[in-house]
This record gives sequence, structure tokens and C-alpha cells, in this order.
Amino acid sequence: MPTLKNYQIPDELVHKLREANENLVVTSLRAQELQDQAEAAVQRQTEFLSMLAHELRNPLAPIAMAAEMLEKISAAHPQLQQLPQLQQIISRQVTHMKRLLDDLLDASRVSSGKITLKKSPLLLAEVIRSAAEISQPVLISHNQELLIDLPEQPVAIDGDATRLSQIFSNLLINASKYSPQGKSISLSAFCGDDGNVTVSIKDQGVGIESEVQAYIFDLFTQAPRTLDRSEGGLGIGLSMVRTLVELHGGTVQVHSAGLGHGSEFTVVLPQVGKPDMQELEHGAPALPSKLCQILIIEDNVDANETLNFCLSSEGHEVASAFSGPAGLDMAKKGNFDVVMCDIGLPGMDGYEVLRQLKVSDVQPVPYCIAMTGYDSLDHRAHADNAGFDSYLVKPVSLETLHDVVSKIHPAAPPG
Amino acid sequence: MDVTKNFRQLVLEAALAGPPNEVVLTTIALWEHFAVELNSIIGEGGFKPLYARSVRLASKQHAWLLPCAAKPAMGERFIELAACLQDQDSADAQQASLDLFTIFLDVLASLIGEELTTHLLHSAWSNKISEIPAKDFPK
Repeated sequence: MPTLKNYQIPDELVHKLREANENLVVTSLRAQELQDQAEAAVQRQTEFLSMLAHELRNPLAPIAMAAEMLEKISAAHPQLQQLPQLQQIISRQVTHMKRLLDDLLDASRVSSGKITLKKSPLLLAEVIRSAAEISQPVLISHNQELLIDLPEQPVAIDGDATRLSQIFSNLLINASKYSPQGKSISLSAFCGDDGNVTVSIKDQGVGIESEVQAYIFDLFTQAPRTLDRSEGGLGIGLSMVRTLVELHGGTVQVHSAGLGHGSEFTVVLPQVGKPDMQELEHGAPALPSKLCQILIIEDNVDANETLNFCLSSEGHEVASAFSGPAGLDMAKKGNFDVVMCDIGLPGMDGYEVLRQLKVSDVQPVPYCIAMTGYDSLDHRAHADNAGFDSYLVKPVSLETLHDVVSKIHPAAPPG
Repeated sequence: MDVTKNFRQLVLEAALAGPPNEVVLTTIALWEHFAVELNSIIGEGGFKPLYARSVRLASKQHAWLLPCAAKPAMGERFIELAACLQDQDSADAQQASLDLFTIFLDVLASLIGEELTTHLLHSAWSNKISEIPAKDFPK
């Protein structure tokens, strides 16, 4: 009979305890297996979201460019009265779809923890100005005024300019979407003694019930909404806000007295020391546009032809190739200033095209631009290693294209 | 890594240390001793799924371990493991043994606690533990 110190334990009890342990172990392991399966399912879903967003971006690129070209054509032909209206409809919807796709990609990054920040010292006022600019169209469409109250002294934070701007524009757009027409939205900031800056965004909108507030920052969570889904969105914005704020070492909280009482979102971020104004100044004057010889290597015929049409209409001399090997041949033979190259190409991918072009004796060496639906640090690093000079994510707007091409100085003709 | 886990790792490394051509024999002997101790607490019905899960997790690092996850009946369980280890070179076999024990003990500790896991190690591998200096034992 087993003993425990001075006590004798009946065999029957030992047997029962062992059986109980056995059941507990089996149940616990089953729970662990189920958790593994659930995590694997989430992982597959995340990968699917990323792939879906990437695939949907491809057809969007030529549509966006065609819409921009329609605007130019309609300006030149006033007799085409309906064209501007139609063009505006297409542009608005493309912008909306692009935002949804960006959100979807962000959601997959949140799930997989693949967000990295490019930090630098920034002025809070600049971040807020950028966020206000991004959210302005939504505020205007709702006839709402944005009241901004910032500290008089410059406040510096160490962060990623794009992502910080995304935090506040997401909150402002949310405030606007869930507020009635004509109601103002306020954004105020103050510096605490603890070295943090607190930014508060307050609206007079529909408010949030207390039980919803507990999980409002979770992915794909939205407050109960009307049947017409007039607020739109995928329930990604606030989750993105929380992730980005936490990556900056801050916190975000929501407070609402309930339905009909508006909401207040409070973001607390660590300040950095006294801002160096010189370091914070940035922006270089744009170089004048130059006409270039451009080669487009893109297998999507619509995307290739639209891009060709847009660049030709700017006065550039443009050639097209629709596969990797054909593009490489043309790039080696031609006297191109710029090669714009898709990454996923038949016959040879864009990285290989660039690698082979760089080791060839082609002169002058063209300025090489990668164009892809993938937007991750890994893909950018890969393109960088292959020798690309610029990296553009589809859909590329005409403005971005013009900016990149205008900064390229074409080689002087030999002789 | 906390003190208890450090200690477990120390015990594992000491237990598996030995001539390269004896890795398989040593590993199977350690499993046999530990299984006897553990079965007295969680029974054979608890040991089997715990061992199977550990092999499955370890096969993410050593894919050739996967056939062992489909373990046969009691008494023949470690024959599969021995066969898998035998097909590898001794360095790979030793690393896989270490990884499999580490995973198994981690899962076990999460179920029955660190203290009881350490106690079982003491009982099962007392001859190996005697070589570890007293200062390294968890307080």
C-alpha cells in the first residue's frame, strides 16, 4: 500500500487519482490540439487575405490609370459632357476600393505581426496636419468642421510619419462617419509631466455601448450598424490604430457615455526631448520633368497598355514588353533611360530580369523601377538586392508616376 | 529561461551525454525509465497522447520523426523511435532526442507543474542527476 509521510493511502484511491489525472491530461491535450488547429486556420486566413488584396490590386491599376486619362481627355474635348461625371465616379470608386485593399493588407499584417516602423523625430503638429488632410474629404462630405487645439510649443515624438498619420486619420474618419451631418469634431493635445503627450479626438456622434467598448479595438469588430451599412469599412481601422500606437510605445483608450452621447478616443504617446527644428525640416524641391525613353515590362496587357498610353501622352517615348525574356532582350538592345518592370512575369521574374540586365554591358544603365502588388519590407529588400532603384506599389497613380519619372535625368545622347 | 527549466535542460544534456554510437540506446533507456515513473501518476492513457503530441511538435524541427507519432501499442512504443533515430547520424539523433525530451517535459510541466516534473526526473534518472552539482538544483 502506498504511503504519504505517515499516512497510508488505499490502492483504490491511488487508482482513482491516476484515472482522474489521465482524464485531465487527455482533455488538456485535446484542448491544446484544438488551439493548434484554430491558430493554423487563422494563419491560413491571414495568408489568404494578403493574397486576395494583392490579386485585387492588379486589375485596379489599369482602371485607376484609365480614369485619370479620361479626365485629361474630357478636359480637351468639352463636347463630351458626360465624361467628367463618369470619370469622377470611376475615380471615387477606385479610391474607395484602394483604401479597402490597403485595410485588408494591414489586417493581414496585424494578424501576422509583420508591421515594422521607420522611425524618425517628428513634430506632432505635422503628423496632425497630415492626418487632417487625409480625413478632410470625409469631413467635407459630412459637412463637418474639425477643431484642432495643439500646444503652442513644438511637441516632438519619435515615430513613423506615415503610420502616425494613419493612427489619427483613422480616428478622425471614424469620428466623422459615426457623427451626424454638420456636427463638429475636436482634436486636442496636451503634454503631461510624465513625458507623454495625450491626443484626444472627440465627436458628438452615435456613441458606443459599454459592452462594445471592451472589444472595439479587436480585428473585424464594428459597432452594431444600420442595414444599409452606410458607414462602410471592414472593422480593421481601430485594430490597426491600437497595434500602431502600441508599436510606438503608447496606449489608446475609448470612452463613451453610451448610445447617443458621442465618443472620445485618447492616444498617449511618449515625447522625445527638445525637437531639433533643422532635423525636422524636410522636403526637397521637385526637379523639372524631362522626357525619357521608357520600357514597360508587364504581362497584364491592360496594365501595360494603359501605362504606355499615359506616359506617351506626357511626351515620353515608350516601348512595351509582355514577358521577362522579351523585356530583357529589349532592355539590352534599346537605349532606355527608364525600365519599369513588374515582378511576377512569365518566363523570368522581374528580379531575374534586373539581375541579368545589371551584369550585361548595356549602356547607359537605365533607371529601374519595380512595380508590384506586394508591399512588404521583404519584397522591397529583395527588389533592392536585385538592383531596382525605385519600388512602386500598384495601383500607381499618375501623380506618383510623374513624380518618379520627373526626378530621372535622362542620359545625354552620345556624340 | 527560469531556474527550473534551466535545471531540466542541464539534466537532459547530462543524461544524453555519452558515446555517439550509444545515442539510440541511451535515449530509449531514458524514455523507458521516465515512462514507468510517469505512468504511476497519469496512467498509460495519459502518457500515450502526451508522447504523441510531443513527437508531432518535435517533427516540425526533425521531419523524419513524424512516423513515430503514429505510435504502436504499449510495450512497442519506443521501437518506432529507436528505428527513426537509428537511420540518422549520431549528431542529428542526439539533437532530436534532446528536442523531443525538452518539448515533452515542457508540455508535461504545463500540465502537472514544474515541481512534480522535476521530482519525476529525480526518480527516473537518479543515476544521471547524481553527476550534477548540488548548487545547480532548483531551490
